[in-house]
Amino acid sequence: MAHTITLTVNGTGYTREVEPRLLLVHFLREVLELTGTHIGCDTSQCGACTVTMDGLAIKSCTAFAVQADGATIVTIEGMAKDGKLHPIQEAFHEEHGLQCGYCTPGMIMTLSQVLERNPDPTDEEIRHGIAGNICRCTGYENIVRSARDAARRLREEA
Amino acid sequence: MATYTGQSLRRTEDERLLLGNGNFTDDIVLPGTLHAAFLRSDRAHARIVSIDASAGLAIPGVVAVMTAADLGDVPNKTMIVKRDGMQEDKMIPHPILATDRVRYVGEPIAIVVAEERYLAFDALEYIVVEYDPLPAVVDPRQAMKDEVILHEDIGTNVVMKVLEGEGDIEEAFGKADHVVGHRYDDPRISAFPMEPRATLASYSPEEKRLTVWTSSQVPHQIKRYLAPMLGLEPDQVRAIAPDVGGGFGRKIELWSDEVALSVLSMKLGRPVKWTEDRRENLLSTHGRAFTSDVEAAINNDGTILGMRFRMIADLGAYFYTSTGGPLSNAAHRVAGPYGIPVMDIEVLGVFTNGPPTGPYRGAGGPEAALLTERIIDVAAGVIGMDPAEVRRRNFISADAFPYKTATGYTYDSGDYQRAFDRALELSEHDGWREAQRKRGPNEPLLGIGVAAAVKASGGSARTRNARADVYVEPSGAVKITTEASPHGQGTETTFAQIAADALGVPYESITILHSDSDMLESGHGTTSSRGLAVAGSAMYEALIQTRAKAAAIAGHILGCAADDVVFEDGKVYSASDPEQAMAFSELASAAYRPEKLPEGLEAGLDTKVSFTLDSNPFGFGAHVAVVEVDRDTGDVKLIRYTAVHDCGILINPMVVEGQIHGGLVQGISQALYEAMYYSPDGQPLTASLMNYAVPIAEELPTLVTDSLETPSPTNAMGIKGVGELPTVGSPPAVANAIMDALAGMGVDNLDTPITPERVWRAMQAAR
Amino acid sequence: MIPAAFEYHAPATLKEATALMRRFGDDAKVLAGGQSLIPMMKLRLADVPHLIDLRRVSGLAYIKEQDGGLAIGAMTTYHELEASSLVRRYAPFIVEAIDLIADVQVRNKGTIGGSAAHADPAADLPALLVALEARINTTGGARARHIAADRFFVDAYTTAMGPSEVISEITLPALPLRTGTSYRKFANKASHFAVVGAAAVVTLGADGLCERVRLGITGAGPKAARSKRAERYLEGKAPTQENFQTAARKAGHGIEFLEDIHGSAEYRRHLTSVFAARALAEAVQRVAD
Repeated sequence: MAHTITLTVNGTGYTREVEPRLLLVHFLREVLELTGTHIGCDTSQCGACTVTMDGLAIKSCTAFAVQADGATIVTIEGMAKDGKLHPIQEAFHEEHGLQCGYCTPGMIMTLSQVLERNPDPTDEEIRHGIAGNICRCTGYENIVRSARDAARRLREEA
Repeated sequence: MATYTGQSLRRTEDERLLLGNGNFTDDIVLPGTLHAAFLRSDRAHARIVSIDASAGLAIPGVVAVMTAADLGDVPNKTMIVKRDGMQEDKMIPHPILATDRVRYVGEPIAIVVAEERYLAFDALEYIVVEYDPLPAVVDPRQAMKDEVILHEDIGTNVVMKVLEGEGDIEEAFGKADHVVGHRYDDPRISAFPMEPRATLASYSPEEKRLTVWTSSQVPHQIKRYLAPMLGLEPDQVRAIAPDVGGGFGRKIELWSDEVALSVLSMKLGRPVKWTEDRRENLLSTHGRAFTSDVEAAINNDGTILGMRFRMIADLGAYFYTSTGGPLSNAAHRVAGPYGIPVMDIEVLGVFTNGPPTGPYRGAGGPEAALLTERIIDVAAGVIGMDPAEVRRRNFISADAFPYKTATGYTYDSGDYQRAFDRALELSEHDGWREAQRKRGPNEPLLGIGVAAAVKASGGSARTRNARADVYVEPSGAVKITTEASPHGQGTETTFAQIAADALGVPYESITILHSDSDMLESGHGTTSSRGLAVAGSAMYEALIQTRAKAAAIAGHILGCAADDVVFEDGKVYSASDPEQAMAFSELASAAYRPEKLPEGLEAGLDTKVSFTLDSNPFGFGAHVAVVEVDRDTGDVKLIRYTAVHDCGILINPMVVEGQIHGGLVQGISQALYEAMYYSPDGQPLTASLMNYAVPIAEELPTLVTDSLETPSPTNAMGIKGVGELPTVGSPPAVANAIMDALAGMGVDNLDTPITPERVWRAMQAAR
Repeated sequence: MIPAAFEYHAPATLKEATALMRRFGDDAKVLAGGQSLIPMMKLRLADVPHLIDLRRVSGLAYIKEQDGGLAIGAMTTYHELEASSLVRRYAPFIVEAIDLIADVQVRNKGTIGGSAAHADPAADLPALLVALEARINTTGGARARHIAADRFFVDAYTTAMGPSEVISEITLPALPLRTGTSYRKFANKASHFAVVGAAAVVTLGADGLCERVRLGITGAGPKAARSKRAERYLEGKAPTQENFQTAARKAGHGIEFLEDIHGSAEYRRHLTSVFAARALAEAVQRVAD
C-alpha cells in the first residue's frame, strides 16, 4: 500500500506517494532525481549515501522514505548557495580531496555534521569523524587536509 | 616556457563532482528504461538440470527473463585477448549466461527485466534452478592435481605457463654463500572501486544503432568487442563511459552484462539498465591470487647472485578479456630495481571454482614485488645486514641505463640509490632503528620495513599505441580528444596543462574530450599506467604537429620563418622581431581562410595522430613503513609511512601526490586487511563490507611523500606513469616492517593479509 | 539489495504498537533506529511482512536521573547518549563505548532500545548493560516487565522478550562511590563490531580492595554476559595487575566462543582474557582519577 509523504529537500517541499519499502536513497535519486547522493555498499558501511535529515547526518540507504515524512533533508545538491561552493566543497577543491568523486558527496555531508559539532578538530578527530565513509582513491590523506581547511574556512566565516 | 606544466593547478573536474552534478551511469535516466537483475549461481560447481522462470515472468511488471537459450545468434562467450603463456586450445571464455553448468558462486545464469528496479530484484526469488552438485576446488595447488576438472574437454586445470629468465640458476645457487627460500600466499582481493559497475544499453531501431553507457575504463574496446558479437557494424555501436567512480583495473573487461543488456535492448526496443550491487561486485572478479615459492642466492657481502620463482596463479573458472595478463607481467617484474644477473621464473595459471581473476592496480607488479622484496629481507637476516643496505648494494646504478634485466625488460632511466636514500632520510629511518633498540619489554614491538619497486607504464606493445585529435576552432578555442578514459586521474586538468603550454594559450581555452567511442576511431582507455605516458604522448605529438602548421601559417602572415614563430600567452610572434605579432585567436581564424594561407597548405587547424610509444618508461618508488605490534593481541598499527617516487617529469605535482596517496593505501590495505575468503567447497565468506575489510581513515597514519624527477628518454615530455607504481611497493614494505618487529621472536613467515590472529599465532608458536 | 515488500505501520502510542504486534504476531517487527533491521531486510535475512515504526510514538526519547541512576527511553539515540552530560557524569565509559560504535551517521539514528532488542552478539552496548546491571523495561506482554540485562540476552539475536513485547525504557542503577568504569574493545577490521569487548565496573572499598566487580563480555560468544567467576575472584582482592590477569583468565568461563574469519574460538578466548584485564585495570585506575 502506498503512503503519502510530505517533506522538504534542499529547501523545496515535496509530496509524493511511496511504497513503504522504498529506500530513502532511491527516493532521492529516482523520484526526486537528485543523483548526487550515491550508493556504494548496501550494508551501511561506506557512507556514500549520507544526507542530513533534520540536521542529523544519516545513511540514506539505511532509511525508508516513509520515515522521512515531515522531515527536512539536505543533500549534496543543497550545499552550494547562490552559485557559490560551500566552504567544505571549496576546501575539497583546494586540497585535492577528491579523485573519482563518487564518495565525495557523502564525505562532505558527514563532515558538515562533524565540523558543526567540533569546529576545530584534530586530525585524529577528523579521521574518527569519517569512520563511516570509505574512499578508495585518496588514501584519505587529502580528505583530512580538506577537512582541516574546511574547518578553518567555517570558523572564519562564523 | 612552461607556464602550466609543473604547477599544481586545481582540477577542472572537481566542480561538477562537488556539487553532486556528476554523471555516473546509474544517474542517467532515459525514457522507458527497463531495469535488469541477474540471477547468479549460489553453487561453486554444479550441473544445471533445469531453469524454470515461469513464476518470475508471471509477476506483473516483469517484462522478460533471458537465459542462455535466448541469446539466439549471439555467441555465448565474452572476449579473450591472448597473453603470453596462453594456449589457444585452453582459452575457455566466460559465458554470457551459464548453459548447463556453473563453475563459481556469482556466475550469471539468467537476467530479469522489469519496469522497475525493485520488481526485477523480486522476480529473482521466483526463478527456480535445479542443480546437480559437483565437487568444487578453490585452492590452486589442489586444482593442479586435476582431481576435480573444471572443463573436461581440455582435460586439465593447468592452462597457462610462462617461462622467463636468464643464466644458470643452479650454478648461482651452487656458488652463493647462502640460499634462502619461502612460500608466500597472495590471496584474492577486490579492487573495490566505490562505484560498482553499471551498464545502460539503448538500441534505437530507427537509427539501427546501439548506445551503451558503461562504468568502464575502456569504452573504445567495449565498442570494438561488442559490435561483432551482436552482428553489428562498428559504427552501429557507441560506447560511452560517463563519470566513472574508480576502476583500479576492475573495469577493463568486456563483461557479460554489457553483452546481455545490449541483446535485451535490441530485442525489446527499450533501454535496459543494470547497476551492480556490492555483493555482486565483490564476487565478480578478483586481483592477485598467487601462491609462490621464491629462493634467493646471496653472498655475505650482500650481493644477490640469482633468484628462482615458481609461481602459481589462480585464474578462476574462465578467462575474461584480461584474465591471465598479470602472469607474464609478474614474470618480468620480479627483477625489481636490482641488477640480479640470474633469474629463473615459471608461472603457471590454473582454473579453480572461483570468479575469474585479472589485473588489479599493478597487475603482476605487486605480486612480483611481494616475493622479491620479502625474500631480500629474509636474505638480509641470514647475512646479518640491514635490509636497506642489502638493497643499496644491489640497485642498478644511475649510469647503467638503459638497463636490460635478466627478466627481459629494458629500463629507461632512473636514480634508484638517490630516491631510496631520500626515503630513508625523510622517514628518519636511522632514528627509528635507534628507537627500536631502546624499546622496553612492556612497550609494543616496533618494526621498520623498507621496499623498493619499479613499475612499467604503458602496458604491452598493443596498448602503447594511442590516438589523439587536436582541433583548434576558428575562435582559438582548443578541443582535444584523447583515448584516455579517466576515472579519478585528473586527466581533464593535466592534459589541458600540457596543451596550453604547447600552444602558448590560456589553460581555460582548452577542452579535453574523452570516453565516447564516437569521438575517436579506437583506443585502449586508461589502464596499465598508460593515460599520460601513451595517450598523453599521443596528444603531445598531435599538439606539436598542430603547432608546426600554425607556425607555418603565422610565419606566412607575420613575414618570418616558421621556426622563428613563438607561441606564448595567447599570442603568436616572431622571435627575431617581437613587434610582428598576432593573437592566437587571429591565427586560428586565419587558418580557416584559404586566402591567408601559404601555398599548398590546406585550410584548418586540426590534427589527428596515431602514435606509438616504442618502449615503456619505468617509474621507481622507495618506501619505509614503521609499525607497532601489540604483544598481547598481535594487532598491528601502522604508525608512519614514507614514500619517495620518481615518475619522471611531473605535469601536476598535486595530482601525482594524490595518485600516490591512494596507491600506497591500497597496497597497505593488501598487506593488513584484504582477502576474499572462500570455504573449501567454494562458498564466499567475504561477500559484503561486514566481512571484507577495507581501511577507514582512522586506521591509517599521515602519509609522507616526496618526488624526484628523472626524465624518461622514451618520450618527448620525459614523463612516466604513476597510477600503479605506489601499490607495488607498499605491500612488502608493511609486511617487512611487521616481520622486522617480530624478528627477535623467531617468527620467520606470515602471509598477507597479516591479520592480528596470524601474528598472535606466530608469536605463540615461536614462544 | 532491496527489501521485500511490507506493510508499514506508524502507531502514535506504544499501546497501539503492541496491539499491532499482537495482531500480526511473528509477521511483525518493530522499527526503532533501523540501523540493524534495515540492512537485514535489504539482505532479505529478515522477513518482515509488517513493520511497526515507533517514530511517531512520543515520549520514548529521554535521559533522566532516577534513584541515583538513570532512566533512558528506548528510542534515545546513541548520539543523544554520547552528548548527554547526565550520562557522562553517571559513567563516562558509556560515552567512550558509544564513540566506538559504528560511526557518526549510525549513532545519529541507532537507539539504545533497538540495540538491546536486536541482541547482536557483537554489539558493544550489551556488554555495558550487563556490567551496569541495567534493567530492560518492557511493555506489551501480559504485564509490564523489568528484566535484568543479564537475563535479557538469551542467545544470538534472541532476547527474553515475548512476541508482543517492546522495550519502553532502560534503567541504570546508582553506582556506589569509588566506582570506576572502562570499556575496551577489539574491533572487527571489516564491520568494526566487537570481536571481543569487555566492560568493567569496579568499586573499591575503603580498605582499597576491590569491593564490587562487574564484568560484561560481548563479541566472544553468542550473547553478552557477565563473567561471574572473574567478578567473584577479584572481589575482596587487591587491585593489582596480577589479580586482574588472574581474574581475566577466568572471564571466558562458560562462554561458547564463536568462530569466524575475524577470530577463531581460541583467539577469542585469548582476547577475552586480554581485554578483560585491560578493562579491569582501567576501571580501577579511574577510581583514583
